[in-house]
Amino acid sequence: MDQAEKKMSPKQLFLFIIQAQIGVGVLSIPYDLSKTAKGGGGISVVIAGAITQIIILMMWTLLRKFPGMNLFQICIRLGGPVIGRLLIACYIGYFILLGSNVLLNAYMVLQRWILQSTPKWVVLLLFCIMTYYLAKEKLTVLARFYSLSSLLFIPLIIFVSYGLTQARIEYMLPLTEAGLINILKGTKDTTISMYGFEMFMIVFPFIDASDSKKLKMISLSNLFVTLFYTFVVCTCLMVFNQTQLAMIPEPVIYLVKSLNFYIIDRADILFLSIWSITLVCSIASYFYAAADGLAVLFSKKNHQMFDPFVSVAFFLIALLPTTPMAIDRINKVSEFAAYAFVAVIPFLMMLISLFVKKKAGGAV
Amino acid sequence: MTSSEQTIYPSLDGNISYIRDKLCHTDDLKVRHLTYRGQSSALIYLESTVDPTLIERNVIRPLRQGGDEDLSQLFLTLRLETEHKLDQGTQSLLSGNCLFFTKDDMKQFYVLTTPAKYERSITEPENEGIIRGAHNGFIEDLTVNLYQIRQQISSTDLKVHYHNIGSTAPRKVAVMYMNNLADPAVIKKVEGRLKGITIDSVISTGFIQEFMEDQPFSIFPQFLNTERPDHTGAYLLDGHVVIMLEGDPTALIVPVSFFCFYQTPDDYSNRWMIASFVRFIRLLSFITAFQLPAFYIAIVAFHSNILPIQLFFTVQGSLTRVPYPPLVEAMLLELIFELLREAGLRLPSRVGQTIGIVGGLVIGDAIVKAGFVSYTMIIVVALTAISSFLIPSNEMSSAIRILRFPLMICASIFGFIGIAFGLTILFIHLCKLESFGKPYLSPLAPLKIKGFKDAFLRFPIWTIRGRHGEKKHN
Repeated sequence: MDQAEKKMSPKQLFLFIIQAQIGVGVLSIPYDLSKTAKGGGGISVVIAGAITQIIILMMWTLLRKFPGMNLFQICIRLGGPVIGRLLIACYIGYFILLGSNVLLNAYMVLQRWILQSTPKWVVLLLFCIMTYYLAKEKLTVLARFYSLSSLLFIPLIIFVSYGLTQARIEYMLPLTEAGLINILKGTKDTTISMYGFEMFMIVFPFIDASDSKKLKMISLSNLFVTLFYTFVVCTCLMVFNQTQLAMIPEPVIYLVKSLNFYIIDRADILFLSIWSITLVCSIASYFYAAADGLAVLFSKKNHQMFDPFVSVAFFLIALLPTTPMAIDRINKVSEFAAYAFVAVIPFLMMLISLFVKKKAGGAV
Repeated sequence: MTSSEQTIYPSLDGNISYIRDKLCHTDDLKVRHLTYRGQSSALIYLESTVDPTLIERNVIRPLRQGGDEDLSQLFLTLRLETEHKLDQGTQSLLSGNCLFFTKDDMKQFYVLTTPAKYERSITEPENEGIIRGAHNGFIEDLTVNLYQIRQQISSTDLKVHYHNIGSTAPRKVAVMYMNNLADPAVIKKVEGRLKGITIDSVISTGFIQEFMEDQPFSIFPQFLNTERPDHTGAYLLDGHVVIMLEGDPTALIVPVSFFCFYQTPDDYSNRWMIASFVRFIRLLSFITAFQLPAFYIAIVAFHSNILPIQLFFTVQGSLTRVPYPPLVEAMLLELIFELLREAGLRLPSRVGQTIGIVGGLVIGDAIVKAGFVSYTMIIVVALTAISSFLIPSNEMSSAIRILRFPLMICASIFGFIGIAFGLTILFIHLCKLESFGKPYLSPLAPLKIKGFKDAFLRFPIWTIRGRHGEKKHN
């Protein structure tokens, strides 16, 4: 009974991953891409989506080998109690780092656009309270809230689509202006907005579906996110020209701001308020992953007792960097951490798991 | 109940004095000495609980006239039971029975059912009026209430289960459900929690509700209460469990979702398009009822640039004369409104008119002229007030009215981000809530598009029906 209550449906998985993936990055990717890929930004996003899909496939092959286990349990299974726990500790560190990175970036955006004179710790505290209140619950509650807040994508998409009324396709053409190499380089800038799908490795055993259905759902959510990003990037590239884009770090907000909705001016304020709710989902995913990892690390049944610590860690890490240099550094560190923890380590684990299975098969 | 299980005494006087002692020599205890088959016998009853004409006509007269026939022949029209435990007998005195002791047979005594019935007639509940449909309502008598439900659902699957709750003054509680439709897990939870109630006496259904709720610390009601038999019957047929208390016209319905509080029986007698529209308006009122003042405060205090320029000047113009910050202004007016509402609630309608004049004229117009609040604020508060009365359930409406105060404070500190913060916390809380194991926000979270047909809108009935089959699969 309790076990059944904990599971989430495939539909919820779809929305869960979308919510975890779409975070702070989406506001600034058109800016990042315009620097490298220029008009071909859309292509870069599609390539990044394809790479993500390959990583998802890889994770899936790893996870399906160990039914009923998530990333942390697999770590212990493959690495033994010592190395496995060390690995879990690293993953917890990674989740905390990435979560607080999102938190920090969220603050930066809000500070720039709405809450200019609110002290940093107050904004961070607000977000920490929201994420704590959400992430201390069972996974089903998270899934319920995520699917509920997915409805907020509708106004967000409408806001951005409205920008198409001012679009000029010439701004984007020619697509390969920057050259293929630069477009590929642009892919690297996009990956930062793709993180979040690694939550898949945490929630995998708690989904009420067959393995292939799970893969289908997560691929669909990756497809949705990729298309959404492509749409946002292309819209921005069509509305602003290159010189304009070079001066606007958050073109999506600027786009919404410039629109006239007749009933309201300055739709960007509404946009950001709605968007900050979807950000809470993003942060809460990392929060939940870290707390869940701590529970496995200390062999506890539930993660409730670790939640306050995770919350404090998020708060402090996001509070520390104050100079733009330090913020840039933390962005860089989390980028590389993501490469290691999302791609390299799962890949190695998958290799080992292949080996382990053969060995076990041979022994029997 | 009590530890001593006193059986009948061999002498008539012994029995009478035992019962007298047991009832603390209360004055309404009557003992009538009669003769039956030549032996002296006694009829004991509480005159406040029995029907005197019934006793006179159906008990005493047959005894005087009939003479020596068997008792079951004498009291043909009454229910007759035999009993030998005196404490049981005393207890049954309280519920309108009378006891008959006779020297002829000192091993047992007889319990005759002669209760007085002083009941209100079946009228339509005042605060749940409908335009079309059945106009009956529950009353303070459990049997009559059950009769009304049985009359509506004549099915062999409708099951009633009685409980007695309260240690000093026990009251009867009936649990009702459709045996084939209700979820066994929910029934088990309801019965288990009912048995777990330890209290000396139950005053109202509110007691039961508070004892049984999943989350007593939540502001949202987790029981739907209604005084309408048709409403109750519809929920029973939908697989819900109904709890009723003897002497209380309220039926408690579990498990409920948030959207149940926004539905009325009228929705199903209206044409579906109209019903859908009305339901949509009601759900819209959920948003305006507690967000509008916060939204206004956020705009005026933080984001006045969100307004189109002409509107901005209008709002700004009315604000210049107001000396207070928007939060104080809003709080002042909201509190005045709450005062008026609470004052008008319990007043007879003749005095109530005075309240209306005081509220409408004096506070509405004079408060602006005096420069305490702005005209726009009056509009905002009036809109919120109206929206909060659109909600059919009084409990939900009060919950929502209270919610706007914290949200107003959030908005006055952080603007729109504060509202986003407040709403996030609120909706996380709603996602967490469960009513007897069923998610409160269903079908919104967990998302079930099929359920939307009867939650946000009201689709044609033939498209909604047939959901029972689905429910069973889950």
